[in-house]
Amino acid sequence: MNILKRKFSLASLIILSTPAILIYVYFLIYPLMQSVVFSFYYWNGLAGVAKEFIGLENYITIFSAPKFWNSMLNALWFLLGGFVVLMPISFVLAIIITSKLKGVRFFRSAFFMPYILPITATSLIWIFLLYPDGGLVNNLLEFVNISSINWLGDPNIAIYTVVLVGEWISAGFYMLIFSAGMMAIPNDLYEAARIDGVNEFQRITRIMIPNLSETFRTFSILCITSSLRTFTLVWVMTGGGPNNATQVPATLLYTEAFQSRNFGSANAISTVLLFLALFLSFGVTKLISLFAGED
Amino acid sequence: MMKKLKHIIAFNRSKFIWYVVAVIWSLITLAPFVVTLISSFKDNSEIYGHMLELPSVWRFENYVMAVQDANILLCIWNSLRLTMMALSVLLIASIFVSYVIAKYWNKKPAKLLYGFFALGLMLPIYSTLIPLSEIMGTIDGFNNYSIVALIYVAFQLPMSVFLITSSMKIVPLEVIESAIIDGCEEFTMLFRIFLPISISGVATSAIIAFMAMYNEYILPIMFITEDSKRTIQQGMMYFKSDVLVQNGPLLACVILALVPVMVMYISFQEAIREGMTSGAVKG
Repeated sequence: MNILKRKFSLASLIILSTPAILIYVYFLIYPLMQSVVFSFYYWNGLAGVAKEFIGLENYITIFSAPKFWNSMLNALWFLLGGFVVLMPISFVLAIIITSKLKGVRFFRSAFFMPYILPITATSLIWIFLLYPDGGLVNNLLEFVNISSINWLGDPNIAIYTVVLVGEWISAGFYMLIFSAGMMAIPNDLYEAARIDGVNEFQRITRIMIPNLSETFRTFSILCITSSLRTFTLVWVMTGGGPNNATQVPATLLYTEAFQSRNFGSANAISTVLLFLALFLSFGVTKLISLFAGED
Repeated sequence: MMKKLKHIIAFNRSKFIWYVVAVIWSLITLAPFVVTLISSFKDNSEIYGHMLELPSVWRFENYVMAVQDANILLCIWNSLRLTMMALSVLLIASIFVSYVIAKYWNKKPAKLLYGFFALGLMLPIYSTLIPLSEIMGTIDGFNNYSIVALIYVAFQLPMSVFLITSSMKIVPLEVIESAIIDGCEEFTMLFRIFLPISISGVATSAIIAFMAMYNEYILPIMFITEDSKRTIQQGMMYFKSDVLVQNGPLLACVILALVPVMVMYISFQEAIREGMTSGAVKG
């Protein structure tokens, strides 16, 4: 009787976990594995045409293509921008929303808002504001006598523009990451510092920053992984153009597959992306904790 | 006395600087939306070069065009429908599997299953697109909401399982054990013990998944081609593909598209912020 009941229980546990596992495996894990397998095949995307095994040729193709390395470089700009621009901004914003200023609730809601809106919408809004003739940004620059800049049309600066818009979107998110860390710092530390007559600058550099090492670690990991994931922002704002100048790995893989119909090399790009993401997620965590361990 | 006064001045000065920074960044975040809102009532000639001016004539016809030509209300409705379909499947599937994981949290297979789902938080979902389009071709999934919804579910499962499991894990082992001894069946255990305790986690994950799914861009672009089934992301692009971009109606579409998200954000701010950060910090 008891054994029967146990068996029944096991069966119901399997039934309960099956739907999630099935959906997850069929629509996410299985396609990922397929893209790894088919990165070794040639295929032009036509349904009736058989795939042809060609070994490492797709990888040779993409690794010798300048546009692939350019897309990697652009991902690197997202990463670099994250550390140089985004980190200070979101750090300052976090100080503001954890302070006792009046209207803090309003600031917090406002700062976070861009992050939750559809990227399509925010991208369209920025295309419009950055319009070279008579867009708001160039109009404001006219006041300080800077001649108009073709923000998204100039291949030399388009990528920086997109990176900055990306930072405008996610500043509010990283602000929350930092503010969570700041609120975890015990209040008596500040209290003791106040009694010792510590000024605002020292309060930040001597107390806040040393106590936020965990948060900086989180920031680094998120920043690294998300720089590889950028797609919609670039796709809507520039479509990877002008002249492939703003391609990031994800948009390049999409263009290669669905516009140039090079499914083989697109699968190779997506495999590189997959392993890079896994390596960075695990590797960087390990690496950082190694460095932190030495401190 | 003097010293105290100095202290207050110094304190207020730093407070003042923070205030200025806060106001400047608020302008940088909010001005684009205000300009968009104003411009959605203008025509092209009034927009460029005069973005900060109010329209001389309020052109409500931009909104009429958004509704009639781009069919934006239908797009919003489609997005909501697709999102709700996906959301209900997502919640059922992830509550069930999270329950199994949380109940046997101290056992190896449950931990493995959890790790298997958590892995999804790191995977680049764009790498699935090519095989997915092939799969969709073979199972006739194009323009089929129920199947597209299942892809939405697959993409959101890692986050939901993570959030719901962590809110279910707090059920103490003794409670589970004594419930088993009392002959408590799986469903009773789930609905009487695990679900009530994790209800806020379930709510948070529902809200987050709603936002992510409503904002989803690439999946509808790839798998929904029929005009009557287009989602809001495609609706917003309607006037953009015009040769002469008509900014007024385009921005009217954007403003209308933002309404559902803004309503969600204003009503559930706390849960959204909490869920998004806790998910990210762990993932």
